[in-house]
Amino acid sequence: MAEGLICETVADLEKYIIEIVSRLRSLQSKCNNYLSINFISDHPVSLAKIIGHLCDYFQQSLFELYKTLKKRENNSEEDIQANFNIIQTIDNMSKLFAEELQFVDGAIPQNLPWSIIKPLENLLSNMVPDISFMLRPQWEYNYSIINSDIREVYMNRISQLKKLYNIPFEYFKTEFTKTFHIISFPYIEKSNVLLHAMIGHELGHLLINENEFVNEKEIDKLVYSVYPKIKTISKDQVDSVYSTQTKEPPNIFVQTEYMRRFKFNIRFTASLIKRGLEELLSDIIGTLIFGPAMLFSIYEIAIQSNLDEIPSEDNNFYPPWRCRLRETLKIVQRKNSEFFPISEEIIKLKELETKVNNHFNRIEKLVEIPIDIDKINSKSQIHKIAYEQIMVSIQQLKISTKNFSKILKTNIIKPGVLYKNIENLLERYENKLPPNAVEKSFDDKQTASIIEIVNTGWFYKISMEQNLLNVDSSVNQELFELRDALNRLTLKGIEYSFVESKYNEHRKK
Amino acid sequence: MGVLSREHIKKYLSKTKNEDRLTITPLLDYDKAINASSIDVRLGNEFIIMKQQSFSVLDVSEGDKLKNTIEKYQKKIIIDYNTRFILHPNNLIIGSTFEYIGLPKDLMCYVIGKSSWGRMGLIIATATKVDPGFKGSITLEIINGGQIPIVLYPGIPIAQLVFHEATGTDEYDGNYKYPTGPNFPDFSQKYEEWKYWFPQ
Repeated sequence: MAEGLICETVADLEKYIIEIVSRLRSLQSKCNNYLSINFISDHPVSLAKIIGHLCDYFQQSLFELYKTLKKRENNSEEDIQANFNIIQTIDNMSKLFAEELQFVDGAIPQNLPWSIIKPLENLLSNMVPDISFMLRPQWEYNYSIINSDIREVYMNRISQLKKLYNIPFEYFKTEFTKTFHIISFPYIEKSNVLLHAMIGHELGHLLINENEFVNEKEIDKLVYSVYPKIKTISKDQVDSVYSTQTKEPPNIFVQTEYMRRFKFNIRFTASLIKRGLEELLSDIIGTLIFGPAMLFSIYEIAIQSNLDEIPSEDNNFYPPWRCRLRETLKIVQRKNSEFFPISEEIIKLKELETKVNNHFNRIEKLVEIPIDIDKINSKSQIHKIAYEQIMVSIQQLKISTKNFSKILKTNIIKPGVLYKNIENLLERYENKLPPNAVEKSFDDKQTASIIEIVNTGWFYKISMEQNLLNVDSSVNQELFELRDALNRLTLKGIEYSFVESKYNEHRKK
Repeated sequence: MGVLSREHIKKYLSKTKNEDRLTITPLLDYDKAINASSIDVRLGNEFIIMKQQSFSVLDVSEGDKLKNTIEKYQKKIIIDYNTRFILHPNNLIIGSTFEYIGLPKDLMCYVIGKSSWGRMGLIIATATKVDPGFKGSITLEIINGGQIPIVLYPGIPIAQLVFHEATGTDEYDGNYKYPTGPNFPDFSQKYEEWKYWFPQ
């Protein structure tokens, strides 16, 4: 026997399997516990069921493996090692699935702004019926999405096992009829419902993916068109190093270095373009759906961050916030569809109108200063070229609005629609009523959409008097109570408008 | 003042100004909800349930301590629509109306159970008076006074509001402003006022 192996005999493997099976049973029992919880959406239960079934699947695979080993009289050292590797892989996979139960755990209604879940699911299914998502909180201060279809990720994980033991696993199809994704929001902003317009950005990611706006072919095309420039840059980079170190480097070595540098620069440019396009296009789609609420939400997060952080590997090539704000603002102010300035005809309350317009102007001024562009241009030639390509590509996509209207259908919000009822909805906030509908009487009412409600909420929040201290220098507690009330009323408004719409649909049948 | 009749309820629901109007939103099936002298309201989907096993006694003399530990005794839960909620005999839950109510300053109301539910043993709302100017979902204290479990469904009509015009105008100034669901009880603000009566 070779020394240093963890498992040397079938008995050793048996012990290891027993440990794993115990862990899987414990995990399975936890999954079963989730089945008795009332979640707002079916997806957390489906995910718990899938993980539960996977526990069963792993146990069956382990039993098959062990039975085969037991049947065989002489198991070689290689057999033991190979089977040990498989067992260890199953062990690691089960731990990975156990970690992912955190998604289910987070999705209990008490942890969520639950009123927005069904309206958002409804919004997405109106645009793309074959995509589903689950909302869950995360302690990291970030909105994010698992862009890959979770079913596919799981299927790939277990594909090797399926080949080895030929045990079928059909539950992905029965539990999830659509592609499945997970959207996370920062837990500490759970009640800050207006900020959740940022989910529009995450929906943007899904739509970009679904419609292959940022596919490899497109990126290759964009990068290919700047090949000559990158070649020159790569050559200059190598030359600059050698000219400072030695006057006459060996020719063959320089050529290899040119190639190495060129390949690196191509990869780097592709990453910059791909990630830049993904993020900026997601903002654009989010803004087309959510309108000014998206701009205000991005601004709210942007001002907590470094506005001009250069995209790099360290920050997953995120475009600078100032750049994101600028592109979002262009959508809010696109030709023939400008949301600002708001005129007196739209909001008669002069003070409110002024405050909202001033807020918009503040953002406009912020993006007029091109610090981010200067930083990108001076960081490196590669950054400069990549961002020029990104802007050209975005411009082309924007010009061809058909691209967006085809996928967003009637969900592109326009000023005429948004502002039609905004004054009445603002009045409801002013009177501490949920902004779910314009109700002139019990028999004359018009339900508001989630987009109208969130935008009205933003307008109202911006217009609120927000003084931290009272005249006597005590803390203005009432302000925080009012902010809480604003969130509660917004959430209730969204819930009511959804329930009433669905109820009316049911009544019409 | 007398009880508001159907005609007067409709008048209040149709007043032009938000502050003068009686708001009940969303008023689903208004034709069925508005009765001869009341409006039916539905059961909301948020509840506070009791956890008897972890709390020995509720003592208002504990002030802030009671406020900070009340969640050991009471737990907020959310039930999706189309889901059953089983209320067992002698159990108390705190729920709220599905609708958000906005009373003008010259109108108050009482929350009254519906007789059909009463005949099943369901007692609804013990703190039945709602002051003029109140805005929010009305808290319902719900007890199964019968001997067998009762199934409740969020969204079904469960209580009714009976309105009276108030002479003069005054406004609600209680602890629970603009609630959109049931709230935990809070006696902490009463502590100073009541402490004379507590054991020294």
